[in-house]
Amino acid sequence: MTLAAASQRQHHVPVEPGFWVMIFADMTVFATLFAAFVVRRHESPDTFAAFAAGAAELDKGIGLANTFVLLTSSLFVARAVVLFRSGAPSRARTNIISGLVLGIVFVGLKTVEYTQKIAAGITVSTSRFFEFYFSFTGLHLLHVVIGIGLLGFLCARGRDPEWAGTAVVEGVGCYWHMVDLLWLMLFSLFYLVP
Amino acid sequence: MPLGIAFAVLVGITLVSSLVAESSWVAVRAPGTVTEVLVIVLAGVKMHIVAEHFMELKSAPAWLRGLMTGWIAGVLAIVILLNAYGMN
Repeated sequence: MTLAAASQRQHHVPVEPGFWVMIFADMTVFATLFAAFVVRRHESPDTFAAFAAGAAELDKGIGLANTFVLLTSSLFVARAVVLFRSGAPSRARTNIISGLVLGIVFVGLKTVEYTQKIAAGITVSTSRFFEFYFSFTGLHLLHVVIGIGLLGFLCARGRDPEWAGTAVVEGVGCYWHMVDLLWLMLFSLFYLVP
Repeated sequence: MPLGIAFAVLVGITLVSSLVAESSWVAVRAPGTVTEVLVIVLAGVKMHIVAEHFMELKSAPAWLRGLMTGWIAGVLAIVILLNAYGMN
């Protein structure tokens, strides 16, 4: 089965339906955080100015680079799921490893960004904007680290001939794509909108 | 849409939304609110592409696709409406 053919299956629920309860619960928490960000931004002229000033302090280059890193990582993981399902576990594992390495690059870039801010005297208590910035991106970073752990688990299992069930690979893949999906809105709200 | 094409579209939209947000050409021709709405909508389009093609929801049952589309539309509506309300 080719990659294209394997990705064209109809009416298939990736993973088990119960898994999606967890995914949507997590995404709903982030939706609430997105709403809180906008409400706080417009709380007063002072907070509006603080959000604009805070966003100007962010390194948009790193934000953009991390977006491309996470999108590319997601592409590798999506390819891995299709390859695994089409009976090519070895190639799937190579793609998982590529996705995992890019996840580590994301964490590295985020660490550089945090370090730069702290070295410049910017912390969570600097302003409302940075209170949101550190807490929201920190929570997202925790999700990335969990995702890296899950991808690592798949890689470790990859040494076995029948290294994982399809549902496990799809589940880890969907979790990783959720992390990517949430970052797309975080990037727009923090780096582009204010 | 093959995965490679979906990825290329995602990269393209990311570049466009960054240019829209940063461009002084856009800033002098469109109110800030319009730029903000455009950036948020483009983020929504990207999230939809990730859900449909990377999460493979394009081949999922209607209830699951509907939930994800509803979540994305809900987030866009909340962010855009709260922003518009705050501006006024």
